[in-house]
Amino acid sequence: MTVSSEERALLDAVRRGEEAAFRLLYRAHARRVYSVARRLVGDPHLADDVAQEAWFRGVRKLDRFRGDSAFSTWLVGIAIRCALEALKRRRRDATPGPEIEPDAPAHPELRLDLEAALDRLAPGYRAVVVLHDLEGHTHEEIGALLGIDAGTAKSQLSRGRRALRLFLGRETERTTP
Amino acid sequence: VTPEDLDPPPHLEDRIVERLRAHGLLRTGRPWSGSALAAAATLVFGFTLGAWWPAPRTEVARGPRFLLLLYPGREAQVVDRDASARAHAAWVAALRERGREIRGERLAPDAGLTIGSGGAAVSEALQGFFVVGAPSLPDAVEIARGSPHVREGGRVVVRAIDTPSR
Repeated sequence: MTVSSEERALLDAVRRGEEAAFRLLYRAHARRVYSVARRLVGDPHLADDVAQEAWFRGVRKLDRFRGDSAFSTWLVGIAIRCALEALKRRRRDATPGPEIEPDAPAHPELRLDLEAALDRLAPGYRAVVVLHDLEGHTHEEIGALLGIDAGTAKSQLSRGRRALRLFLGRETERTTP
Repeated sequence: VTPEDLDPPPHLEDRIVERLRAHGLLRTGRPWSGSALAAAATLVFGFTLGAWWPAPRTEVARGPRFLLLLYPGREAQVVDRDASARAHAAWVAALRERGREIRGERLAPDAGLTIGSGGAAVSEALQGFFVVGAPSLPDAVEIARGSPHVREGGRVVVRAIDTPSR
């Protein structure tokens, strides 16, 4: 059984609008949602906004949660979509800067650590790298969370990792005597 | 990103609640109650982020009781909060299976507020507490020694609860 009867009762109380029930639900899953948001978007303020939006949408759409998956999985899926939207908005609004593409030429002038390198990855690549390498999801789970094939998730992971390696490798070469 | 960075900031919960209220999705008022829902709170909390174990509706044990106060150890330890919560839940369950009555809570990671003045009152460091029924202080100390908190490098202060003589 994916959703226990206890959790179902809690969700019903939230559907009825009971604040105390929501607070319990929030505290049970807050770290999971926030950590995904934080890892996906990097910036803590943006992560706050993403987590807030995810919870808001989650409660608003709670009637659509059928219990086919764990509630946390469902909610994390919403958080991921919110994070990807936020990343796309940020990129659209930002001044164009160097961005990592798997086949891009070298930018030896860039000094990037992993976090900064992740920031440079296109949102789709960043999502699969974070979900697989940091959050420990399988290709199948990532596919379900992002609405893509498991095979696509796998190939995006491979390309995302290659992009990171390229940049980090160049950094190492540049800084090693 | 460090493990601490992955903890949601304390203000976030209230911000979300306010937004949900503003959209009519939550309402304050009648406290959330009912045994089924209390059980839900217990399960959701007990094995994830909140309290370390189900809050029983009954008081802990008649007979000697001890308060275990949980403090950080000398060396700063990085402890995964989820893993720690699971370890404590398992420890509590094991104690209960052995007939010990125990309850307690993990405190939120803030300093709280100190009301009144004078005397020594350092609340910042306190991380959580247990109330445990045990026949004697050495038994309570033995229980404290076996706690995940000590294994994680923390300190536990054991105090007897003053029980009125009958």
